[in-house]
Amino acid sequence: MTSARKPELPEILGRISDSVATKVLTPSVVNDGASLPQTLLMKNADSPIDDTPRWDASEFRHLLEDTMERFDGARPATSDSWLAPRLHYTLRLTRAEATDSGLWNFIALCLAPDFVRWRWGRERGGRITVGQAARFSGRWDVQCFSRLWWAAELFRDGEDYRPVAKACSNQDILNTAIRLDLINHRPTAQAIVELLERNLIRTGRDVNGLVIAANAAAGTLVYEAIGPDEPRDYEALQDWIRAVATDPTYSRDQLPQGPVDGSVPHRSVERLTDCFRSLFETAPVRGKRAKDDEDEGKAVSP
Amino acid sequence: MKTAFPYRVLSGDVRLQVHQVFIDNRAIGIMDRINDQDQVVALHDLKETNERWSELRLRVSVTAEKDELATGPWHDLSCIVVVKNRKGNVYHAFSLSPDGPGRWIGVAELRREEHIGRSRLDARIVATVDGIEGRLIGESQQPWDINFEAKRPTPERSLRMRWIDFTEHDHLKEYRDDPWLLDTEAGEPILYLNSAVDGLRGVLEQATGTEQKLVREILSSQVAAEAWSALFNASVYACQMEGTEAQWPGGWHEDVLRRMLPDLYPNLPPDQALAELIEARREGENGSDLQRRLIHASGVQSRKPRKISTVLRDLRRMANKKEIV
Repeated sequence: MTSARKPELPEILGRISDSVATKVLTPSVVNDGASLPQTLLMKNADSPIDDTPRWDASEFRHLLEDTMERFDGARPATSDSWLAPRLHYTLRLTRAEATDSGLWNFIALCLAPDFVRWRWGRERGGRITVGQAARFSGRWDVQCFSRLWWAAELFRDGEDYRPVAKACSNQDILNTAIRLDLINHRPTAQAIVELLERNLIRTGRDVNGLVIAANAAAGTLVYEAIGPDEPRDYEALQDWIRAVATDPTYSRDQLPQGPVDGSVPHRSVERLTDCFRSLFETAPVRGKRAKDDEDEGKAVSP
Repeated sequence: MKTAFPYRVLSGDVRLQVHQVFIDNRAIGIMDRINDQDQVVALHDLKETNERWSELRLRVSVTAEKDELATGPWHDLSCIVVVKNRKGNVYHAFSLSPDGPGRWIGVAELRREEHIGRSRLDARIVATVDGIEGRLIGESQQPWDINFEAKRPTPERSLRMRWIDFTEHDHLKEYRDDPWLLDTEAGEPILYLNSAVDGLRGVLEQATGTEQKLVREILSSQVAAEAWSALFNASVYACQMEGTEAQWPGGWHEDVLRRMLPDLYPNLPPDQALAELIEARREGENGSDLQRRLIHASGVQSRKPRKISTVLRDLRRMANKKEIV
């Protein structure tokens, strides 16, 4: 009996070290779509961080297949904003755990190399080429899956994933802003989403203009003093992580609920939104016409 | 980036001190954990002694010159400490309470879920100046380093090392005869020493006789210099230009560059040195100038010149002794 040979998918998530990943990511894999040596990879995989059910691979695999199906025919980049909150909800990690590139390597190389090709591949001469090994194994803000997990972690407002979906609908937030220290202060991240929400910033150029201005002003303005944050509830975070086996699976149409570890103080977001709006009005944005003097509000000078 | 302040800022020192460390509400011995001079807190063996720790609290104070504070044009003075962890993308601020003129005290909390590797602690004094609130008027000069990997509170940032048998690992098999290799693990550099090389471990770790010690010195400076070169090269590849501006790569890559660039380009400030380096990599005709600078800089980092001169001196002495005997 012959059946179409489909590589067997791992049942639990493990870790692949960067050096093993580098070794298998040959130019023919990255550029010509050659398949990865799955047997060798599985032989060199380490076990997951602990033996809890959160490392079950099937749910995660299911989510990725769902994504590819749902956004079939659309630009794959548009899937980021749907996938990021659901990925964060499905794969429950602490930040310390999420810094382990081995886990992300495993997902990209052993569980879903087809997804990496689908999301980042370009058709060239009848072949799918990704061109960047870093989408399989690379820096946290570049790797196919870790960038989405971190975007969700940095932009969620406690259990509310709506700001994540908004932030991930703008590729320049994911490509540029996410790397800045600035974003790590939760009220600052929420204020930037608020500007997107109000359509005060729209294009990639807007985003870049804003973050450059905000970053420059951070030399003299202390955002964490203007918009203080509240401490997070880490017990709630741990409860949420433990509940992975009992919580419902992600919903296709509704945003899931993240850890109830405390939302960002509304007043802080308001104040920073005002502050950034003023900064942005005077910021040089490529291609933007200089603002008329008359509607220039009380600007906060950097 | 040097900031030009369009208002008056403190010219006196702002001093941040860590007085005590609590792990899950238990004070831990500070003598061997906190180094005031170099501003390091070493927390490595928490892994062994209190593996399930969940919260770390640091009791801190910040002092500034009270006379200067009293005479400035600022209002609503406040003081915060900022805790950052680069890998965990952590950025938390803790506000301190006033404790007499020019002094604030308070507590910073670090959670196990977020902090990994090394975290940094800074103090910032904030005030309303000329009607604009949230102005930075003073900052601690040097951040505290909260190091979860260091055993002793020393500023020496040594490379992680591990002995492994190269022949037993698929990805290292083709390097089976190499005594050492620099590799990365979980994104961090690590120096693999090959335990399959006969006698290497003995010399590097249990050198006893004079001759053995000399060989160890030479060998270890060789390993260190090569490791620094490899670290540097990996970091160069992590650099990018954004428009006309050279971007610091962040992470350990940036640490390595910030440490080595002053030796590569002694006459340039760090930002310019980085731009020069990226330019040299892109345009450099054969890279020989860059390589020369690199050999020098990795020599400095590994203290090769000193080690070699010491070894040569000792050899000379030994030779002389033998002639006398």
